[in-house]
Amino acid sequence: MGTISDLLKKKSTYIFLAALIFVVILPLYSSGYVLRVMITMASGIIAAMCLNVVLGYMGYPSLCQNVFFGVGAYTMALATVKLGFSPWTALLLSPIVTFIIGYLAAIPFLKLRSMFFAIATLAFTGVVSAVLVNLPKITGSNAGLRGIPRLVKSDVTFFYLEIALILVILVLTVIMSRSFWGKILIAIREDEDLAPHFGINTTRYKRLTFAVTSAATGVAGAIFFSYQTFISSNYFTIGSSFTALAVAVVGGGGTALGPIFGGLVVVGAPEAFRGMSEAMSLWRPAFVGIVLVVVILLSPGGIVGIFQSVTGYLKKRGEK
Amino acid sequence: MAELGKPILEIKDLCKNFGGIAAVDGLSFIVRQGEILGLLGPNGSGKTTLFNLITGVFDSDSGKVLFQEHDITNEESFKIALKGISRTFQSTKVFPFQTVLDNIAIAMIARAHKRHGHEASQRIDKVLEFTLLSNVRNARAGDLTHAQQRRLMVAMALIEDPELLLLDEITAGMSGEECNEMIEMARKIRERGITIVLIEHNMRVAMALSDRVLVLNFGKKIAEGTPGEITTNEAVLEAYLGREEA
Repeated sequence: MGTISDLLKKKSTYIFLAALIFVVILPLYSSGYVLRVMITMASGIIAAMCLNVVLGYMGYPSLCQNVFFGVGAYTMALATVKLGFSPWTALLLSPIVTFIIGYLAAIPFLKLRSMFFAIATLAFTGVVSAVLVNLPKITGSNAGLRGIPRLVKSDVTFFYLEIALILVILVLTVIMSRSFWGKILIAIREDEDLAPHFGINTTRYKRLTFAVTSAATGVAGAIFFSYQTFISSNYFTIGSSFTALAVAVVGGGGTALGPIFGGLVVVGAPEAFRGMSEAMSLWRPAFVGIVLVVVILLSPGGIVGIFQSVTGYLKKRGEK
Repeated sequence: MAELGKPILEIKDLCKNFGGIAAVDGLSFIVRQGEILGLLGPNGSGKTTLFNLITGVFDSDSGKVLFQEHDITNEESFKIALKGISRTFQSTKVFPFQTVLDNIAIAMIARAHKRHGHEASQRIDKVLEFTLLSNVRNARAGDLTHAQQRRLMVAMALIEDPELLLLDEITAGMSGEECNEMIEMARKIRERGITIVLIEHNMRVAMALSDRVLVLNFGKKIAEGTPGEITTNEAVLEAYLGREEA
């Protein structure tokens, strides 16, 4: 395998492995609160990684990522609490249900482009949010559903479960981006009207990509709310659908690693405010907005874009 | 001139209206295997609309398009491309942020599963050489010169050996020298057995290349014949070349 020996020669492989070891050891020495933040952050990263494929590679600014997070979560909650399935069976069901909903949503929405697509998906989030509130017998509405069984006992294992899912999505994203599928998504992003003239069935690839990334987001939702053991419609508002977008954009759209950096900044960093005085913690939501604006202004390529221009600069200096 | 083959493309009573204005109005004609058919006509006479109807960009209101005796009327663009009709565009259309090689790769991708890597790279080398793009293969398409981008469009249309090639003003915005290169290229494409329909505003190019010429005005066919016949046709002179030249 040439690819593995190639990887062993790269500096970034060792940086990645070191980071991975750090991430594996970290929860063992973290307080319950810090672990909780890390688990929340990890699920935000997963949602953003999925959105990143739709937004960064395919070029569709979806604002309904948390709908699929929610569909996966409610599949977990309803299958276990109402139907009595084991949480692991429910975990298998959640991507299937989310895939179907994602595919059905893709049929009308992906006929729209750019701003119109963004508005339609935002409205979709609003509709789903209203449905969750207005079906108290099924969803528990604001009061929610309690007693969702946990997939695994300890919080640390939950964290590892999410890290495993992040790694799987990361590897799949890299493989996808180098395969014909990635090329097709890039073609769709750069000129969707041109691509069909080369025999590319753009509609099929758009819908499948949207549905597959929805399914993966659904798994993240199922894991997170199995960890929470409680779900309510309050988690799925129009405002919360903005987080995944912020994570993906701040990290750097269209790069496999971008959402991970974005998650650290957008979800992780604001937690620092919680530890401060009450007056400071009120500034938490503003922080996310400010970071987003600053990153977009300074580097449209996000955090990964900043890294790339810095390393590019250093390389050029090295050559001189 | 070599003997022409059987019909490869048949247009029958094709109509397309845009808000009550007939862009293509009951148009019928036949393209024969191996020929170069030139489409002429003043601006807005329906030439590009015709290409868009053939390649599934627009749905026609009525009429039929037959390709190799199969009805392809109002089929989706990607299906029509897979059947063997390739086209270029009036305004340059490539994937600007991708390299020349990646552009070609995207153009091949829908049928790439049919062949192995070595065969694919040979094919790419050949088409790049043919379109004089070998030396810029790693450049970003958006950084190429105008003429290079137009040739890249041809390369992308050619890479999968289409049966029928629709060229929409390939020489638009090109210098005399670049035009001659394009004319040479189009002739070589025909020698490979590919049938060509071309829209051309440049009279010199149209007359030099076409075996047969079709003149449109207001979406209707007003004349059809060899380039020699067309230049003396009354209706054409009136509608297209201007009365005072008659």
